Amino acid sequence: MKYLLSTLLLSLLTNSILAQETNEKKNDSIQRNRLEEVVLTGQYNAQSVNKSVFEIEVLNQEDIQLLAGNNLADVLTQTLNMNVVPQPGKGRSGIEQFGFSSGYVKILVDNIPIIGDEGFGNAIDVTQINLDDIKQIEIIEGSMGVQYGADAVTGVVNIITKKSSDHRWQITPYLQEETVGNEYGWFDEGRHIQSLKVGHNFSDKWYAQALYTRNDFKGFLNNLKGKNYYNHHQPEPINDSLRGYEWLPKEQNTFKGLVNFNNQKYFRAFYKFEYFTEETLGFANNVNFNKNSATQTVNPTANDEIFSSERFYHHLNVSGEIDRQVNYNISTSYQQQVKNYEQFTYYLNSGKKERLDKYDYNTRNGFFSRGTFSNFFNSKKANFELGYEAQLDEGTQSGLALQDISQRNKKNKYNTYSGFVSSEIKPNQTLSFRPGFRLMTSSRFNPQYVASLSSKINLPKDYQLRLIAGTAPKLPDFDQLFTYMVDSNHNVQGNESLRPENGKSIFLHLKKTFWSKDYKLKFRPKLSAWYLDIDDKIDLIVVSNSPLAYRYENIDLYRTWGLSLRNNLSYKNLKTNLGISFSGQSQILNANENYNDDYLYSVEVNTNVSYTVDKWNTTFSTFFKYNGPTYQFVYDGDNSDEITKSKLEGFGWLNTSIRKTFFDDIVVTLGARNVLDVTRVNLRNGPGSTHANGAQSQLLGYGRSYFLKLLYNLNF
Amino acid sequence: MKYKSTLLSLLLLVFLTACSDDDNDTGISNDFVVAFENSDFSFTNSDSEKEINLVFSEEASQNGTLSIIYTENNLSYGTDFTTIPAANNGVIEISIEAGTTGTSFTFEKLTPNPVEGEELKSVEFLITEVNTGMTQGNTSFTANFFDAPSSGGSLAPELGGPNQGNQVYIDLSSKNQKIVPRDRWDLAFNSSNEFRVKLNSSLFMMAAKLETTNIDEVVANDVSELQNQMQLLQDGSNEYVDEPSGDISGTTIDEISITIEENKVYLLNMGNTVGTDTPEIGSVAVAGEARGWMKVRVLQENGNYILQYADLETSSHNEVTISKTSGYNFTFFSLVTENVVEVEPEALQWDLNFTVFTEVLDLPGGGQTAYGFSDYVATNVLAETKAYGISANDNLNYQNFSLEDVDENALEIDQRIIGSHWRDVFTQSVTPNLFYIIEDSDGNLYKLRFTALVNENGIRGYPAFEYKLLN
Repeated sequence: MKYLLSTLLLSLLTNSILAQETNEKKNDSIQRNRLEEVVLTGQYNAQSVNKSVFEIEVLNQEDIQLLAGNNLADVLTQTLNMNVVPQPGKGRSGIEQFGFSSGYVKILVDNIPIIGDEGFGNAIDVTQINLDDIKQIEIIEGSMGVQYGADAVTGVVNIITKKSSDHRWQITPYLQEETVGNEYGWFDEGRHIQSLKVGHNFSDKWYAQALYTRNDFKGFLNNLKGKNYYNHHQPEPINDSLRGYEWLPKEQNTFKGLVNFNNQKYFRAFYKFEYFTEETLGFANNVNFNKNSATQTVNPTANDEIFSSERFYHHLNVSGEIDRQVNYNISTSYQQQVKNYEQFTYYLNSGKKERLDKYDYNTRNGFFSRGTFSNFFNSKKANFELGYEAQLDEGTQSGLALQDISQRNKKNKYNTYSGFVSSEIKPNQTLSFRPGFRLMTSSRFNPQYVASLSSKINLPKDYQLRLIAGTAPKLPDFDQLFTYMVDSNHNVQGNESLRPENGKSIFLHLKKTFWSKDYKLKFRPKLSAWYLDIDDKIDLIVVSNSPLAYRYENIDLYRTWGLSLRNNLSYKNLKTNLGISFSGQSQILNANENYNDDYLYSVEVNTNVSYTVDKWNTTFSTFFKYNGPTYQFVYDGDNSDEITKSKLEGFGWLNTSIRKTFFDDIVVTLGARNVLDVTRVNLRNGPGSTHANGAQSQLLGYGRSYFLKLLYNLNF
Repeated sequence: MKYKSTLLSLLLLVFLTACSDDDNDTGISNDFVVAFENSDFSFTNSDSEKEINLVFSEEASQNGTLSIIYTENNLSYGTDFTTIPAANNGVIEISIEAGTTGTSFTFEKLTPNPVEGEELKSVEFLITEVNTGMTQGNTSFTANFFDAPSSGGSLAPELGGPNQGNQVYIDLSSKNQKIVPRDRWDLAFNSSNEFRVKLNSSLFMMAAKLETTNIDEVVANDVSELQNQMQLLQDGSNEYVDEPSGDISGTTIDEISITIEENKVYLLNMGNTVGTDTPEIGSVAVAGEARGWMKVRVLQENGNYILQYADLETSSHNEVTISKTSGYNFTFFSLVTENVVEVEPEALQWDLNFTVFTEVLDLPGGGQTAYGFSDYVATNVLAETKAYGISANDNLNYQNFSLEDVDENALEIDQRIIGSHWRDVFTQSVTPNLFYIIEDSDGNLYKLRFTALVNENGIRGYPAFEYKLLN
């Protein structure tokens, strides 16, 4: 497959080189004189950040390039109120927003949700989202259920891809070599990325683009010793749990295609296709020695595993005007995701593999359609938008019944149909409101009513005040609905009558943009305050003490509030920002006899500086984010009166890079991620540590890594 | 433009080579080792021919030969014994075939064992050469023409995989295992002087004493509260199971009294059938469907037991006389087949029992409960098999432990000594650095350690251990 793709790309490339002569244009990609950012998320039509009723943070292409971001996990580490949370033992990474996990944040690509391989719901491995064709990432904080439906509880991350090019041909190969901590090798260590993107304007109406990227992450051994290891202790070999990788190796291949049509008048359409594969290798940390007592030899075997995922994505979007009046925008998508799980016995002596089992670990097929219609009449004072959304999901998940493999797979369908309406009312120049409402009906849950109200007030002296309130439901995930682990000693059951959790939030933003007289200096501070809660939060609780039985129930209430101050400053070739956020979270655990619902507070700071030296065609940049210590109450299973506080120490992500352009078209980026060399972060009194002073740690990073990216822009 | 094409070609080259990353696994290369499967065998007069097995450390990758010599002790080749293939100038050559994992030769015994007073006879075989590898471990094999306890070796009790459907009785001195389906029996009637009745704890059975002596008047309605109490993981359910130490005075059913009226009716939770589900690799599925409820009353008469039994909902009962079986710990009875059944070997002919087992656990919030264990190893306490566990350290470990190191005072009579301590379900392997000293009813002292909890594919219910005679 790899060879096939490479050969295909090779021939494509050589053909196009032969077909053209030196007729290249200068690449003006570095545009210093940037206009205000234009955003799409939650908007009736694309418009500037300043005019948007919602408050949107934008990570633009420049930021992503300076971070050498290949996938979403590479870049979101720098965002305030958001964290990338790796699960090294699974080779995956999720995100957290306001301390809530991936399932509460809706990740969209071009305004539509993508299905992942983490089951129903919204949780997705952010390392699977390739960024090689993107224009910008838009991040909204707060519940956006009216606009984006279920699971847009703490916020939305909307990835906007590029759909046009200024050049007739644009061919962009790049190579990126990275160390993984201090591990690097040409084949078996480090991270190796190869990518090729070809874009072509067939006419002023038709544009097409193809992209292939391979991201080969060879894993992070850290203290572990790889797959052929066991402890040759004398006189007997022993298990010391040091086999395998601390961060699982995986290889991803992404193939994307795009065709865009724009009649330059009232009609636009694009079709996007993506084919994605991923293979993650899992290693048993211990081996079975299979000792032969007669010969006094061992024949060590390990139960290793391979997760292989495959995803198809189709997205057709049409937009335009009907009768030069009504704007419409309709997206239709079909996505298919298959994840297989293979278990095999690996014989360390001979290198032989013997398959034990292979099965469908997680499959999803989804049809999605979303349409919005607006601008029904010409009024400067009011506009309204009607929309529908249909999501038809079907899938299976395994691992639900440990004691009986014939019960491990559950198949399920989940269809939702929603209608939503919102209106933007501008009674005068200073005020605009946007009330919204959505009705969601589904095959599994009772109808859900979702509401929002946003308002923007232009205060004197160009201050802008935004007040944004919204709600969004969070659907129960597969485990919560269908887990079944019941035997003579255990009883843990999912609950098919669970209701969605209810999220609601209210945000207040005050900002102003200051300009120097010559417009060279721009300074924009923004102060935000928020309150967000999730009611009916699902928890696994003891439903019967004797015999002991557990079941998932809608029972808890989680709350968070906070304040943040974000500042952007740009002056000539210098761009900086500085943000600080202070937030507290409280949990009301109604199932516990005893709980502590005090707010536990934490602080985050982010900053970045980039400076371009025109003479050298070089940009220096540094990104830094500090995550302050975070606390959690830990409940002692043995003694319900004993509630202790765990503390995850603070840590910082520091990234730095130098990017230089040679001969106008070769871009070299040299940099380091995680300069502060964060690996394990101490967790004091974590759950499971026996009473006081238990020290544990969480593996959050793989240490200081260096990268070199070599990109070639062939434009003509 | 030229530098561009050069660069492009270079990039492509890197691209292609990086894609051709191969993933060949060569593993670790090891010596090919040959050894005798067992280190000794004691012939009786009824044995005339025996296959002597040789095992390989791994599948032979090529053809080869191994050479065996022998040392005679009061007997001679051709007169007292012979071999196939025959020895040539005192050397037996055996071929190793590629693709096999072992070979053998035949030992033929030509003369009877010496009688008492005559000199002991034996012959020791020794592997001297393996032309494709080496020998280590059991490099020699002794054929005794007299009765002697096994010097040890390794055994893999056939527990029956992840459902663990068998109870396996191990006799260390004869290196025998007896395999019995664990749902063959329900009640065990003690054969010693005491009148005691034991439950089949491998099925998680429980018994609760009722007030009445009239078995026919007991109905489900009267006992529904008790039924809720008689469950695994239920606070207080430890009362309804036999004392897990195996102490016969700790049975949950009171000693059977000679006074008829003192023998109450007992409610029986029949526990669970043997599981039939296939669990995920590494897990067990030992418990199947609930087997329901019965009621029993046991009396004694003329040195025999009288068992009255019925399904909980019936108003009449069956009665059967069960006699003690001399030489055995118990007489076993099945309430399902309504027959006396054969289960344990003779009392003095087993030391360890691999079985599913009902233990008593402390609950986190205080109190105790009955709890089911898989992979349990119980010692034969009624035959006074003694044992204790030792954590190996740098000075004292399984390899160097000898008779002088035995601490007689540490030896205990309690079926829980080995229990489930020997295995770690989280790492799915044996507990590291733990070994046991076992003294059987004949006074043979063995050191023993477990070598496997799962098979080479990681599937539960395939334990293995090795042991060695110390005295």
